Amino acid sequence: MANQQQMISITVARSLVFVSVFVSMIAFGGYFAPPASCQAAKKDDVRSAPDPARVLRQAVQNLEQHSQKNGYQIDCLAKGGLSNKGDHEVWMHQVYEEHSGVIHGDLMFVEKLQVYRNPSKGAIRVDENWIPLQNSPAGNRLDRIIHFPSKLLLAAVAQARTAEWIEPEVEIDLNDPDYVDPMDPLEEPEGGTKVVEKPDQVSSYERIKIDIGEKMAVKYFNGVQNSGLLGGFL
Amino acid sequence: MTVLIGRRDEQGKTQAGDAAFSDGVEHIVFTYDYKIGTDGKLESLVVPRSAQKLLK
Repeated sequence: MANQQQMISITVARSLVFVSVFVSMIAFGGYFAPPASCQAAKKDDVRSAPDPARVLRQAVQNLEQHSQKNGYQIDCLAKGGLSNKGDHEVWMHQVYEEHSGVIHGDLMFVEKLQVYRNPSKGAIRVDENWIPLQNSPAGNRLDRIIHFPSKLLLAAVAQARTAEWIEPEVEIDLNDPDYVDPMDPLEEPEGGTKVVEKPDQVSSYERIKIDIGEKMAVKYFNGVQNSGLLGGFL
Repeated sequence: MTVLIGRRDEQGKTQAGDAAFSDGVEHIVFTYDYKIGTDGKLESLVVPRSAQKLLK
């Protein structure tokens, strides 16, 4: 994977009465990076915050333009199953699909599976023959589960009910010598009872949460159901 | 992308709102992670003729 890299994480939540979609972007300086005006905005000045929906729409347009001109690489990992935890930790895994490929405009190529696809159709090579993507179990799974990132984001923007900036996730470095496990009674930092303070929450314009309608959640869930991976288990 | 799906309990009901995805309540979770690399210019894709026909 190239050095210049972006990560996209999207959350779709669905129940009978509550539906929301969260779209988050963590930028590393690439095409998803907020424009300079966003970064220059004062952290505590809500009035100067850029419009998240507009920024996301612009970022997706930039990605599309880059895709048409230069293409880009994707790595995608899809997994899931049953959880009974508030943090959604899965205890029974049913889905695990990992693919790498390249996208040039409306064309995706997955070398390992020998798949070419556009947003509506696809072809997979089985032995020496090219067959429709969905005629192969592996091709069908890929088709149902792996999406064109820009199409996915555009759909989220188009169906958004609300959009807002949220704080980026803070990763804890367990190897940091100053890290103290707050649940470990035996752990005590050198020099007494000093406890390492949590880093201050820093406002930034890197991560966006979007609430959208149930329609999109149902669409992507149906994709997983129709991939054949669940086997009627869930 | 994380997809959360509420499940019906023994009484055939799904809890409302976030409660459907809380501790002790079984629910379905799918997560998707996309990493995008935009470094440099990639070579254009050359689609074999037999595959091209299937993309139309």
